[in-house]
Amino acid sequence: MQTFIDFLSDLSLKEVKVPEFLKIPNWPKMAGKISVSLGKRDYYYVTKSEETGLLRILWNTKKKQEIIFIVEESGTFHVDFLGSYSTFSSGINDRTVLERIRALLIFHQFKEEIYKMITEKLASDLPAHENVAKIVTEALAPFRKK
Amino acid sequence: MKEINLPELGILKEALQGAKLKKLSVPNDIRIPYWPSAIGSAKLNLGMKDYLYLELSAKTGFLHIEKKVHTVLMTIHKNGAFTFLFEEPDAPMHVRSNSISTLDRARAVLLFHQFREEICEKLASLLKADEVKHNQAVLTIEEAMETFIPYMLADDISTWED
Repeated sequence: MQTFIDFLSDLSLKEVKVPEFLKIPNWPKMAGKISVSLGKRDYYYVTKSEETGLLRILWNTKKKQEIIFIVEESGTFHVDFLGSYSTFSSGINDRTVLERIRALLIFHQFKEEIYKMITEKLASDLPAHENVAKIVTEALAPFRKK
Repeated sequence: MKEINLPELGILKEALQGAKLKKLSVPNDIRIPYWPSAIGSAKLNLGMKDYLYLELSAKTGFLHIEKKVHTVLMTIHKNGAFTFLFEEPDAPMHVRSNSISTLDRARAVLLFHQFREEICEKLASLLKADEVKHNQAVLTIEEAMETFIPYMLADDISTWED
């Protein structure tokens, strides 16, 4: 038992912290709620090991669900996974850390495409409000590759 | 009304005075020490086992140990407290190391004591195998969080100013 306690105290497991109430900063209210479809594709997601509860990254290559990325008026976002038989959702403000992580990682993986799709959508939907598209471009700029 | 037999009562008094019954005392809220909080909850299937289980006699209220055979499962919770569960329908209910019942805590400790070698060995190998994967996942999440952090800090600071 003592050896096991020594083993536990030697483990260096990083803590994960994804706070609630994350949002895309400076998202303009006027842009409203925007959803874009990323289609059916491979993506990585985080899950917990059944046996130890530790995190692990898995690849989903089944392409069974359409991924819809939705930004709310407040700048928070969630991801809907639409399948033929079931639909589930992961939100950046969900109560469970795992769901917040899943939403965050979808954003992280596809942020370039999301950026492009959102700005294109705004340009076509709100041609009279060019300023909104500009503010959204600025809001998403920090997330783009440097 | 039944008469009270005074001599008989005297015998009972003597028996009670002579009895040296140990009182069961188990600390509250027993946990595995140094259990890392990064671990959600770990689950182990110890398989079909012969084990000793603490029972309370319905007649005397005394403790006794019974031998049982069931599939034993163990869950270690985020805070290091643990629960034993049994699969078969005739098996006892689950027992928790942080139960408010002293008897349940004693049962949990007795079960842990019986399987401690196997539990520690299995957990050590599982945790060792998952440690690298976990830390990689956390690094990826941290990377995804990076851009948000300055804005979160700015939001925090603005609430201080309010």
